[in-house]
Amino acid sequence: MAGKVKEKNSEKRRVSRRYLTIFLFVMLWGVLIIVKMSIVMFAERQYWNDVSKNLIPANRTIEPRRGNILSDEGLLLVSSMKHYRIFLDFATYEKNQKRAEADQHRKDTLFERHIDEFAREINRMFPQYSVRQLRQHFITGRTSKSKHSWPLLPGVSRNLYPISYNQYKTLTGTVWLRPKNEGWFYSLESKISREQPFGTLASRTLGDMFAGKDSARFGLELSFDSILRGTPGIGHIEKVQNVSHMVADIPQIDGCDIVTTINVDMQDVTEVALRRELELVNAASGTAVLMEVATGDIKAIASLTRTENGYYEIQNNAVRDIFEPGSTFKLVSFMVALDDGKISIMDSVFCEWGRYAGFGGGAVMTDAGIGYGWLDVPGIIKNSCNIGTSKLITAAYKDDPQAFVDGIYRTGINTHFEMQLIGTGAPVIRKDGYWDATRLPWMSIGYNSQMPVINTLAFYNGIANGGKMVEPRLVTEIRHEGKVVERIPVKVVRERMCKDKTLEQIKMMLEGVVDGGSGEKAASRHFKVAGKTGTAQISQGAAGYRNGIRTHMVSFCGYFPADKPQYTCIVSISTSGGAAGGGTMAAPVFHEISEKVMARRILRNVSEAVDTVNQFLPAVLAGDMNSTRLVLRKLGMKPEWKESDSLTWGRVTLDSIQFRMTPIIEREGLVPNVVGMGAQDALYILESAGLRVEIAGVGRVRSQSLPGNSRFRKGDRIRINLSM
Amino acid sequence: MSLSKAEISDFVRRNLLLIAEILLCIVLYIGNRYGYQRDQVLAEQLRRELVDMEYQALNTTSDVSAKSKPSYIEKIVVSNGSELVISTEPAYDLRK
Repeated sequence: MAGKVKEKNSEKRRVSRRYLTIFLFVMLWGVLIIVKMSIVMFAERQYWNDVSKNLIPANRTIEPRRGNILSDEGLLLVSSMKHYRIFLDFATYEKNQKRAEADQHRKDTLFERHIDEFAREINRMFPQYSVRQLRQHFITGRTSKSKHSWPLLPGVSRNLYPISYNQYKTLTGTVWLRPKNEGWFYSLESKISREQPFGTLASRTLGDMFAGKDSARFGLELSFDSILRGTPGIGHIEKVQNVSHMVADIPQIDGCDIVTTINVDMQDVTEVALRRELELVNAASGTAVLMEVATGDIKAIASLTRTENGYYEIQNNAVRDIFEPGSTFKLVSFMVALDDGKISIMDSVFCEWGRYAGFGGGAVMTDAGIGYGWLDVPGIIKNSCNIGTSKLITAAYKDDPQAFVDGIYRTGINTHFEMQLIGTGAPVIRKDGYWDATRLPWMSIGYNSQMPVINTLAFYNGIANGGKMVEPRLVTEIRHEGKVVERIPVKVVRERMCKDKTLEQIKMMLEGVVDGGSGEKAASRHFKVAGKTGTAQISQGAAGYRNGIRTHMVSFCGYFPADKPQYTCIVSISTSGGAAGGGTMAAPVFHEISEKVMARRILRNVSEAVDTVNQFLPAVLAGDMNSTRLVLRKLGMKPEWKESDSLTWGRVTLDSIQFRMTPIIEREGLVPNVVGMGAQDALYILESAGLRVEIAGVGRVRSQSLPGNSRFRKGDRIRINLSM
Repeated sequence: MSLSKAEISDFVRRNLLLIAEILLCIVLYIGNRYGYQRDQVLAEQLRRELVDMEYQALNTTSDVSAKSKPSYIEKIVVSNGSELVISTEPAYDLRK
């Protein structure tokens, strides 16, 4: 029993000793931890703070990529691209003197040996800098104070990033700009900026960003900013296997792309045509807008203003500025009056002899000195007669001028088209207030009201669209990662702007304007054009219309092809001094735009190309004339048949538009002349004459080794060469 | 309180399976972590490459677009002394 107790006690001691050891070990470990902790907390505090600053993965914003702006065909109009600045380092950074010397020597050798080659390479990429200029630039840089960071390109301001991604890739692939100790050191700065690949094409409509800021300035960039922008993500930097990289905790959502209605070709044609005319007449500014009839899609929109360096887009005048529209508005007046039944298309009015002071208020209305006498309504529109229009409208509405304005509102021309842009102009067509003697007559010819060019365009587009006015549209789709997120539908402003009968009469009158009227320069040989010219004096504010130099807004608005309208276009040019007219200045621009646009869109039937000069005539081989005659007759041609009907072998010549057949006469013992024949006929003739024939090529016989009519012996070899 | 050899070997023998399992887990963990990190680095590298390619594609598209602008082509044609101009005549349809 005692033995058992003793054993139990010794067991107990052993166990408690074991636990004590473990306890002491754990305690010691704990103390060590506390000691280490204190050292870290107090003695090494600064060190670890510094380390943590570098290592603690602070949350970082992951910038989303801004969406692209695309053309109607999906071409890139605006995109975010990476641009670079490269700095060369001609001097060594080595601290150790020995190594510094060696490295500097290496760099210097590279410089001495390759400077010319390097300058040439850079010149190839940036031809605007000459080899000499670049060479001098590098030599200057080498001894300059900034030799450690000398810009690659001379004369580039600090905030410009002139090197594109592809250029950067090519450059850093060259021997000279390899990283580390292989080439010249270089340093790099990059920036993502918005770029318009097509240059200044529709630049004002597409918009821009503030330089160096993530903020849109104007245009579609501004109005669609929230859609283009995207949502930033949050991430942190992690170091894995010695490589730090960003781990996204909340991934960023890249911005959506927007698909515009702008067509690159049409926009280009429009800008070129407008710029040419503006330069020709030295105009202050001009706008041209091209619209698709059925959808109201703006295919091209250009607003050019004169600057010291030529004509550029400074403002989007077409949608922003409001003007008195002038004569293009006469059509609105007639549409209202015809629709109200106040006048008939057959009505005639005496249009005076160029001047009329009968409206009262001491005001004189003129027609540029041209006296038209008696004109009917189509005649008034055709000649764009002010006095005739005002007389008719005043007579119709003098008792109730507000009814006239009601009629104008009914057409929808007073709609404020926001056009998915910010800052578009709203039309001002006053309805209330005092109607003095001049207000109605001048209103009827496009004064006393103001509207942006786009409203006039939408009105004419409505006429072309069978009376249905649609809102001008600039953006059709919003896409995210290639998938359509939203489609923007065509917005109808008026289902019917006027009665069908009125519409027909209006259309007929517009065709008359181009067919021998004031807008005849807009006419085309290939399709029918309808439109109206406009010439308006621009008010100089309080100074009125005649302060010093008169400034005019000349315009032409119309649609084509008139029998099945596809596009509506307005051209408006602001000139100062001299003679001005929509028919002489704006109509030619319209003509050029319409012809170039339609040249790509209509296909003429090939039979139209046939006339007395151009005929479709088959190429006829020499040979069996009986077969040739048969084929030509089947084709509806009558070959001239000079010799007797027994003619077998012959050749065909083309005499103006008539085929003439002449015989090939075979003589015994002489080589037949087979030049011009096909292989089958030539082979038959030569073989039957007793020659052995070798044939080379395909087509018709161009040459034969034994000349025609030379003597030969039976069994002689002849080689004939054929080609197409 | 020293443990006799027999005790240690007894302990090890009794827990052999557990120890083997722990070792296996450690090996798997290290291997897996290594593989994961390698994949992570590769993914990062590929992601950078993708972004690079996207920029390259955009840049190339942009360059090509600028060069395909009709008025640019016209300018080049004129500067090369050619008499080619943009047609204002519609094309003929030669299809049957």
